[in-house]
Amino acid sequence: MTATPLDYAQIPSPASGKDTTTMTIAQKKLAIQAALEPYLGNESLSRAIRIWEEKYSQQPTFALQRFINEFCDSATLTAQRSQILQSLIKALSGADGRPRNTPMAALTASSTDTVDVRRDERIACFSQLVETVLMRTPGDMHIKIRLYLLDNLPPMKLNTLAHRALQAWLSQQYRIPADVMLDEPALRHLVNLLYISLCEFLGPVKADNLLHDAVLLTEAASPYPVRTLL
Amino acid sequence: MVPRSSHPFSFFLLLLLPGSSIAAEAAPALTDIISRLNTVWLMLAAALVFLMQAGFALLEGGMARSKNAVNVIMKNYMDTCAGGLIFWLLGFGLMFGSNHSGWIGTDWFMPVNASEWDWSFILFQMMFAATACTIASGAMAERVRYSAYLAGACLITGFIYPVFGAWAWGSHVEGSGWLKDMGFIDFAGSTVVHSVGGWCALAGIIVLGPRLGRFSQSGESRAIPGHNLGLVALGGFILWFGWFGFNGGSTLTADASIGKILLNTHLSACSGAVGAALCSWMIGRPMLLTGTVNGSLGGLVGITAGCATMDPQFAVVTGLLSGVITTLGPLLLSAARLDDVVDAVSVHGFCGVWGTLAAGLFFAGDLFNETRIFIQAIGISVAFVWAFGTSLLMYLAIHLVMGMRASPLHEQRGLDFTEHAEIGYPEFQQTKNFNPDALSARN
Repeated sequence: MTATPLDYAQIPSPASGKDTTTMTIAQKKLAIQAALEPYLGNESLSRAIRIWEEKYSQQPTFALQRFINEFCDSATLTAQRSQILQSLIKALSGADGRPRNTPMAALTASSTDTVDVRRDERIACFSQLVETVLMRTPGDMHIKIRLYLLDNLPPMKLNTLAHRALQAWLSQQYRIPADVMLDEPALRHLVNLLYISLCEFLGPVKADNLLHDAVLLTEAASPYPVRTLL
Repeated sequence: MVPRSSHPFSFFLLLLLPGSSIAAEAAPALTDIISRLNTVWLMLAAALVFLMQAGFALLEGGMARSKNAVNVIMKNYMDTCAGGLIFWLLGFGLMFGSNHSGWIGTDWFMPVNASEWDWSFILFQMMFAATACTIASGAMAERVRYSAYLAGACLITGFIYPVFGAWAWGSHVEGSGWLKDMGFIDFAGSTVVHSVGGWCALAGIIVLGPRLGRFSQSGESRAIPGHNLGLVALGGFILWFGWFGFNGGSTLTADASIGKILLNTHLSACSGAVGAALCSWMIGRPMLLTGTVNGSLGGLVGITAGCATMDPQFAVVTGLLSGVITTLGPLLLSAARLDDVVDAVSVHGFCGVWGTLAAGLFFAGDLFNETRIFIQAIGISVAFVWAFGTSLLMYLAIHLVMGMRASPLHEQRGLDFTEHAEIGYPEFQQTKNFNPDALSARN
C-alpha cells in the first residue's frame, strides 16, 4: 500500500501569516496533541509528544514529515500519514478553528505571550550562533571557550535558573530551555564574552571572521534577528 | 636660450609686483619685498605642514582595521581643529610669549592684535602643534574612546607641547628658553614636535593596554594587519611631501639655505626606507610596505633636528640608522607587550631621539663636539621626562574621570559604529559584527 503523496504546498512558509514561529512551545505542544489525538492511543500519543519535544520542538514546520515518520510505526498509521500531516499543519497554523496567530488574536493576547514567543526564538538564535562559532573553532578550542564563558557567568548576576541553564548548556549537558529568562542585553553580553575569548585564544583577526561567518549562517536559518545580539 | 635670472627669487618678485603698477608707482622697498617673500614661503610651508594631517589620516586609517578607519580619521581631523583652537587660545602664548624665566611664555594668549608677520608665524606654529598632538592618535587607535582622546589632544596642544617648546624654542618676542640658551639644537623639531608626540603616544598605550587579543596569554605577538595598504603608501608619500614644508619652512625666511635643508630631508627619507629594508633583510624578516613607509618616516623625523646644520652624507647616515630603529623599535615594544598600532613611538619617539643626537654629532664644521652632544642628550632626556611624565599623569587622570578604554563590546563592533554611527565601507566592509539596523537611528 502506498502512502498518499504529501501536499507540500500546505506547509506554511516562514513568511506566511500562519507561521508557527509566532507560537510558544507550550502552544505548539497543545496544538500537536490535539491534532494527533484522533489517530493515536494514549501511550502512542505520549511517545509522539516526547519525540517532538526532544527533537522537533525547535525545528521548522517542514521537519514535521520526519517527525511523523518516527512515530508512524504501524501499517495503519503509515497509511494515514498524509491526513496526520494535514491535521498537524492545520493545528499549528490555527486553521482548525481555534483562535490563534490571527492579527486580532495577537492584539488580544497577553503581553507575556508575545514576550515568550520572542524569548523562544531569541534563545534558539543565541544557541545557534554560539554553537556555530564553537563548531568552527579548531581542535579542543571550544572547550577552552566554554570554560571561559563558564568562568565569566557569575559576574553577570543572572537569575538562578538562567545561570543553571547556561551552566548546563556550556557543559554540553542540556539545551537552554526555551522559557529561561535571558533578555537581549544578557545574551549580547554573552556573545561579547564569546568574542573576547575568540580574540584571546585565536587572535582578533580570526575572531572577527569567525563571528561574522557564524552571524551570516545564523541569520539565514533563524527567524530572530541575530544582529540584535551583537 | 632663455637667460638665467641673476636672482633665485626673481620669478616670485615679478609675481609680487603687479606689472602695471611698476612704472606707475614707486617700487617697494627691498625689505618689504623680502618680507613678502618670507610670508609667501612661510604660508606655503604652513599649508604643506597642514597637508601632513591628511598624510597622517591616510597612513593611520590604512593601518587600522576597516571597522575603525573612520574613527582614526575623525581623531586626526578633530585634533587638528580642537588643537588649533586651543593652541591659539593658550598654547602659543605659553610657547612663544614673553619668556623671561626661560621656562614659560607669559603673554600672547588668544592673540588678536599683531603684525602681519606675527599672523604668519602663529599659523605656521599652529600646524606644528597639530602635528605633535596627532602623533598619539595612531598609536592608540582601535581601542581609545573618542572623547577621551580629544581631551588628551587638547591638553597636549595647550600645555605639554608648548611648555617644552618654550624651553627649546621660546620666545617669539622677549626672553628665551633655558634649553635654547644652553645651545640645544633642534631646527624643526625632532624632539620638540616628534619625540614629545611619541612620548605622549607611549604614555597613552601604557594606560590603554593592548587591543583585545593582540598578545596571546603565552606572550606571542599577533599581527593585526591594517585594512588598506594603498592608503598607507599614499599617506607616506603625502607626509614626505609635507615634510618639505615642515623642515624648509622652519627657516622662517625664504633664503638660499632651503635647498640644502630639503635635500637633506629627502636623502634621509630615502635612506630611512633603505635602512629599514636592509635591517629587515638582515634579521630575516619580510620587507613589509608598512615597515618601508615607516622607515622613510623615521628618516624624516631623524633629519628634522639637524637638516639645516648637517652635510648631506650625514643626512644619509642619519636616515639609515633611523630606518634600523623603525624596524627594531616595534620588536622592543612588542616584547614589552605594548601595542602601538602604527609604530608611532618608534618612528617619532625613538627616531626623534636619534635625530636630535645626530644633529649634535654631525654638526657641520664641528663634528662630534662632546659639549654639544652632551647638551643634546640633556634636551632629549628632559623632553622624555616632561612629555612622558605629564602625559602619563594626564591619561591616568582622564582614565579615572571619563574612561580611556573603549568597552570590549565596542571593540567587537568597531569604533566607527559605536563612536560615530557610521562605517567607512558600508557596502563592502569585510566583517560587520554589529547590528547595522541601528545605523538608521542617527537619521
